[in-house]
Amino acid sequence: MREKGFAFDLGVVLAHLPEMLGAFGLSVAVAVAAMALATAAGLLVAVGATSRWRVLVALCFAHIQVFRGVALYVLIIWVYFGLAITLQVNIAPTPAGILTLALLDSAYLAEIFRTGLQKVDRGQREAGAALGLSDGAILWRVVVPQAVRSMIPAIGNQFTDVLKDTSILAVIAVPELMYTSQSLAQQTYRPFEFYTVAGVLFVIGVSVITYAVRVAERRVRRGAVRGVVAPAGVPMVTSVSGREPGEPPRMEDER
Amino acid sequence: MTANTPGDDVLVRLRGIRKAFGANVVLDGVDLDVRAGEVLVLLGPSGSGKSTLLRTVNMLTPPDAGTVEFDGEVLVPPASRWPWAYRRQSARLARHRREMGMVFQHFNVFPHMSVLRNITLALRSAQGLSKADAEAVALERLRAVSLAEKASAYPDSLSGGQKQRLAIARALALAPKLMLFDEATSALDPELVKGVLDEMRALAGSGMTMIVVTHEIQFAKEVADRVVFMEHGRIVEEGPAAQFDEPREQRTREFLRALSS
Repeated sequence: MREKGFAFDLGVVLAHLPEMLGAFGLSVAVAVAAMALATAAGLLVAVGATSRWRVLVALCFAHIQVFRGVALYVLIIWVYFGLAITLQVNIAPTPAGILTLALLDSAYLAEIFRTGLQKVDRGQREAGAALGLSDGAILWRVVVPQAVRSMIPAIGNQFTDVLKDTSILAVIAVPELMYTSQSLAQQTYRPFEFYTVAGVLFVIGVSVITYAVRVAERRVRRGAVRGVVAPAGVPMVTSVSGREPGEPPRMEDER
Repeated sequence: MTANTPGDDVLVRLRGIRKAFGANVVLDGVDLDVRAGEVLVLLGPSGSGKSTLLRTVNMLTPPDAGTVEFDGEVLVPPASRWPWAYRRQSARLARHRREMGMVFQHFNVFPHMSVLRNITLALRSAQGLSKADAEAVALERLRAVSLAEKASAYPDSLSGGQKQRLAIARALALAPKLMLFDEATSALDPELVKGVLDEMRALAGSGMTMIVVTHEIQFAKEVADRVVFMEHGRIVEEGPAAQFDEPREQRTREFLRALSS
């Protein structure tokens, strides 16, 4: 085609498509497993961070700071090699990859849930308390379900990050999409084709997640914290000074 | 001025209640007794402390000083530094709260639960009823406020008035000894106020002990056994509803005149 004779040859990739799709399947499976663990752990950490027990709060914030702060690459090395060297804990690459992503994303999800817990209207806790519900019932039956519902878009966003982050697990030879693309590229001398297809698969995966989140969001719309809604009977404040937008300042505003 | 009606039938006894938010003193030493079966209406300009006083009764706002006695027992807000002690204190308060229903200005129904589950939650979780028993009680309560056909609906499909009637049904399902109403009609569109006031009127007629914070003067005169007028965190004047046709205190007269103008 061009002078140098480079041709984009998808035929090579098609010949290895089953391997590529299998590897992508592993990426998805790792992401789902990591996300499930991270969601559960993140919720517990968020609840701890918003509790009244100072020691627990400190530990939960430490968890968030550490795992959000450490680079994914470093964390993988630590979980896979570090644990083996220092504590003789040997974990197979794939479980080590899942654990790494779960730890990292539990910190991000904890921050998401913490915001969500704080956004739930105070009146909801008060109503639960006035009904004589236990603190646990107020938290898990009243507050958490509403917080999780309101956080579904943010959780979905995190899920797309986890899926793409699985590519870094190539470092410890987890045979996921990126690692498989690398080795096939080396075998066939066709890196550009394989990495392009890997990229396309990631885009497809992220699109599916985005769509699923939209559907989930629509399903649980009732009960979510939907931004700032003026309570019935209370007029919405249109501007800080109480003026209509575009209305010139009045004398009263000077007071 | 003190509301003293000594006797065994005092259900709520407040003594020396003080509360400040920062430098703002909201309750400045309030003494008040509420007898069983009595309907007490708290009146006063906004910021007078009437809502805060109501909220100290079930410790949603624990007072800085003073005691709240309910049904002969002093209520203690959970404050322990130790989780197990805190749990015990919290459980004890929750037990008392189950005997006091509260209705809020903004309804505070649970938006993520069906109308029926809004009511069965506390019956099952706090009172330990079975699912079938809880649903039977809940349906009966919903029927009483004409919401039975909405049992499986979600609160976002209800009008404000229906939400508030749901909130009343939810509170009554626990068969409380006392009902607290915190401006229950203030957030409602005018045409929906009557339905909620009708429920409250019926409840007052049934002999329920009620403490009602409201701006509905006509309603207050009609159902109240006793009216308490508050300003600046103190009780200014109190007496039978009829007394408020010709209030003794200058401030009360001014307030009522301002309301009716």
